[in-house]
Amino acid sequence: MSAIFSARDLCVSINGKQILRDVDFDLERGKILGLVGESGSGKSMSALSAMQLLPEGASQSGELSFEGKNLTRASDPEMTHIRGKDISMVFQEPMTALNPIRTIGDQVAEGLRWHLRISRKEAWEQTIDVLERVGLGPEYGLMDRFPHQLSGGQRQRVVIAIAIACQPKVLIADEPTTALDVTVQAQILTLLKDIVKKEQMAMLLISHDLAVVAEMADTVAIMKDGVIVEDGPTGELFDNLSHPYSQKLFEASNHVPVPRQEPVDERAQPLLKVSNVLRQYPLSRASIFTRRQWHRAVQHVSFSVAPRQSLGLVGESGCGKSTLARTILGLTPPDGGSIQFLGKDPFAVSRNDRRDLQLGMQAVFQDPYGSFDPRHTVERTVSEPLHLMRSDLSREQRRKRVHEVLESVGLASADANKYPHEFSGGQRQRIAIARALVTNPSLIVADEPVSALDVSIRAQILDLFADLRDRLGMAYLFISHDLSVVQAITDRVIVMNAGRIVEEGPTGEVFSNPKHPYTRMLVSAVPDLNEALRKRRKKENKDTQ
Amino acid sequence: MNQELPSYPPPAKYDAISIWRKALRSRSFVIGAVLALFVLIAGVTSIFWTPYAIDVLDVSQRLQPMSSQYLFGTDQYGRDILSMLMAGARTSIIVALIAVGIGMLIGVPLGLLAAAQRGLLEEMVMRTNDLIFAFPSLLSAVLITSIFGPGTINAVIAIGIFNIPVFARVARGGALALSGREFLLAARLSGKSTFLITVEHVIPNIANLLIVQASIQLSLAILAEAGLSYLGLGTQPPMASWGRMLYEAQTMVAFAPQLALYPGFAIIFSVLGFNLLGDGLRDLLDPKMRRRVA
Amino acid sequence: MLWFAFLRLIGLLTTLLAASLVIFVVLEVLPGDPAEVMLGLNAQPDTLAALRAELGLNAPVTTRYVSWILGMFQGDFGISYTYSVPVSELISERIQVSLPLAAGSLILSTLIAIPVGVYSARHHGKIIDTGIMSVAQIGIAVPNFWIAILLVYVFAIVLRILPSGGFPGWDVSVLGSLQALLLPVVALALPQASILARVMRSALLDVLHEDYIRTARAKGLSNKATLWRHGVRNALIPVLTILGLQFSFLIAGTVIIENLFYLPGLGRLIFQGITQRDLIVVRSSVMLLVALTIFVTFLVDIAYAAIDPRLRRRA
Repeated sequence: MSAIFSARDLCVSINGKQILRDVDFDLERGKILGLVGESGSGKSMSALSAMQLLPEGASQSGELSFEGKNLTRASDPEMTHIRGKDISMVFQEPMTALNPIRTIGDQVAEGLRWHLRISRKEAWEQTIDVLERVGLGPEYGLMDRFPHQLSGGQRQRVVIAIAIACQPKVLIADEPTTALDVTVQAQILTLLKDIVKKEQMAMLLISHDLAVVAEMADTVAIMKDGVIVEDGPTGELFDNLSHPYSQKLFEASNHVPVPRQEPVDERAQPLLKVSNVLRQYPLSRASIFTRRQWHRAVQHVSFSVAPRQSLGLVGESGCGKSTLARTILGLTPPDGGSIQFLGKDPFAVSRNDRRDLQLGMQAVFQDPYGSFDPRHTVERTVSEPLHLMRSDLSREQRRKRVHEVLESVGLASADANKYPHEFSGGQRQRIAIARALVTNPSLIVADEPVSALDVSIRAQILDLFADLRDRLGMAYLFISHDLSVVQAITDRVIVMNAGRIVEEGPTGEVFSNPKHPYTRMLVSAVPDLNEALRKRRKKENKDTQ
Repeated sequence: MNQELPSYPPPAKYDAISIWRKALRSRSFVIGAVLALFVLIAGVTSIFWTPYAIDVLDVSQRLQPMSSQYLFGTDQYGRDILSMLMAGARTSIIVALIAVGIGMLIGVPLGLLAAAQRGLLEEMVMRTNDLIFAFPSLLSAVLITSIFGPGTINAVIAIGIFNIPVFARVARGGALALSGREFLLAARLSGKSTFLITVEHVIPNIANLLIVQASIQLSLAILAEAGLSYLGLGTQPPMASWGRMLYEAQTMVAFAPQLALYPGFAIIFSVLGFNLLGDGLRDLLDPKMRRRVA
Repeated sequence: MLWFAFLRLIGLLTTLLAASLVIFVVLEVLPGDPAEVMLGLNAQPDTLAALRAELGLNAPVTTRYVSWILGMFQGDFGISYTYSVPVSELISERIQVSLPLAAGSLILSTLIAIPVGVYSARHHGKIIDTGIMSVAQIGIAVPNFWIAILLVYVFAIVLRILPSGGFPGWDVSVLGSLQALLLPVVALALPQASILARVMRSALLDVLHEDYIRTARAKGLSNKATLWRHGVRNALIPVLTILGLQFSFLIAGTVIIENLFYLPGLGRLIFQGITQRDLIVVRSSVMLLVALTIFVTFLVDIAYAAIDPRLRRRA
């Protein structure tokens, strides 16, 4: 089978900085090519280059051939006949990819009218069909809706509808599910796969997630620093990874930190006890004549964390896990129920006692950029929680303590005088952990602490968490949407859905044998690299026979 | 949910040397700073020295052309125009600085308070702001100065009042934009009070916005002072003011149009200076805001 | 949408009420007894007292406030001390000058600014863009009354093709009236156009960096089609804000410009009213201008919601 779209020696540089170097790939009808890489590898630029939508200041060489044409030499007016008609693209962020002030129907119909020169009425009818093809039938009544009225998954379906409206021959998808919840991700991936098979499109799927690619792609190319380091048929490639970078990436994706050495005494007096906690927000009223409605973000949640225990809290966006975390941290009081930390209710004790409780519980947040004041040095940032100890520490003691914790998270004490912007994402997360450690707490609440990090760095940070757990006897409340992360680091897990706990148990047990239907759905929706590869191998063997 | 790094760029460096280097490369900043400094020096010098006294009328020297004796000539009352321009710079700068100072000193705390204590207090502060915004600024300044009598001090107060809601808005907006940032949560977890967090984290992080806004407000205040003085409600003779000079020049425009040019250029010079300075500072301090205009 | 408009309308009325209170209170502190001002210095005490009674100055403050508000609702704005004619008559006469002046300059500045801003944004970073923006930067710094003086010098004194001031009245000569308004409109419009052009350009550049612009391009739309269909309309939202604010500036600007051109407009009426202590005239005309500003803000809010569906559900 011959390629319908291929890149040869494609080089792209932006303002003199080389982004892609000698990139070759082929897309075939009805097949998916997976392009994998970490942030900054140039994979998104490959997609934009294929669309000829490179940013200002970009220059390119090499060949992008499609139906006998070299697209790198095509003029923009020529490209306007190809883009959206023969080659289409699906973007990462469904929240921002649609024009907020125009209706869905209008935005889907626009491409149809542009390319097919059909009447408004015809375009309208075809739009209804296209939306049906992406699973948004007339029963959703989306034609006259605006993007903000749709869920994230629905918006991504609309973006796909725009892309496939004119039945293109090539579909490029840049991280199409990264911004979505796992269950929605599974649906969108199935949809894309179906479309590719049914309409015999050639697809370029770009992702950072090896599992997603292994599940979807027929062939895979691994990219690093603008170069494709290795490529081949999916099963075969992953079985014989030869390039050191691809091996490292594969290992990091499968990485599990060292398991706990000493068992946790679960019968001990719990460190943190959450009983029947309720959190609710008033919704804005539809009119003054209706009763005020409440959104119950957290509904009667109870659990406890034993000393040195690592508890995972998983759930999809909007399930109430972050709201719960804020209450546990003492930032917002519960509307019902109570929190007991070290045997005391932080919302009922005196100021001084509260300070002691805060010394015992610190937090690590998701965003390695937003969690530091850009104007404060690392030393000032890390020593901030020592404010809780007021006069107990001299300046010299503070400094010593900061140096200690920096070293225990794998940074140098000389880093104390630098500013956060001088560090990489992974290093920043180490600084955030150092800040949480500085008061020597017994519990650390970690809210999506590795979600913003690349796979290989994520593995290192997870190792650090495991190491600190064993070395310092820390307990964790580990909040994440990512099941694999929770699986890797926690002893027990709680699954939350729509403000309630639906399942709780030892981590291994919950994941291998989920009882609640929601947990089952969640677990089955997570792409599993090894499982995907096993299926892939079977299929490839069948094909060659 | 987002696996990729957040979309905003890493914060810029904050050490003084690199900012200074960048500043010297920014065209807006350099031109703006030079113009503003020029006006400032002229104004300060006029406190101690002007080529001629501006409160002595000498009709025998009226409407002198440009010469080495009178660099820009003299007006219809025989006053030296250069001296008048220098003294006018002093008036403009003093009025603008104090008026913007009033706006900042009252507006910024109000805005921060509104951001910190959301709810009723915020609502009250913001509605009062809206009310002040509803009064066309110069019209109200005309009202205030005419009720309390024309004069520099009343002009300062009148212009200052209209700076309060501007700074309240900027401070509140800046503080609210920070409100989701995790470093503020971390500070809360460190047991710090709202006041302490505001002083240590919020104010330093919105200082850029305030500085940029201040330079824009300075130029607006200069324009407002000129307008009031032009109407005879601002600075009174014998003190010089560019607006008043324009008013006096207007009656002579048929015979001596150059009289209207000098004060006009002086106003454009200084307003342009502060505007460019603001643009330049915005580029330097807040790259994301680069293309916006106030 | 209707609910949104209704809530905004309530907001509008509250602001109006608050504004009327502020104006009333401020003018109450105005020194000088209106009756004394009207009758001159050698007035007899009993005539003074009679006039005070006639003007209702002896009534308590609250009564006077309420009767002022109620009067305005019935179109009764009182009688001017100095002109001895109903204020409503004065205002309706003067507004025939001020309204065309403000509206004309608003329209002119928009007509200049929008195309210039879009053009500049399309040629972002090129010499023509830098040139236009430099001119706009200077335009912002120029006081409108200075432009006015220059315009008068060039067109009235040197070229003698336009009047330097005065207003013949619409019933006397429509052409003459238009000519009389031309220079004032231009003088008011130019600085506003500079500001608006810069806002238009920067708003459009901001929008052009949005993801949905890339989606539109990926659909196959040409640069130009994307710019007009997805760029300009979305960029109008910040431009509208500035337009609303500019109206307030224009109203203020008319005070100076009408004085400079000897135009018998509202701004000049207020200015003269203040110097002559004609409290009743000042009070009602200021209220009218403030009400106009508040009403324009209201219209801007409604226009926002019409453009941006996200705003409709929020109140």
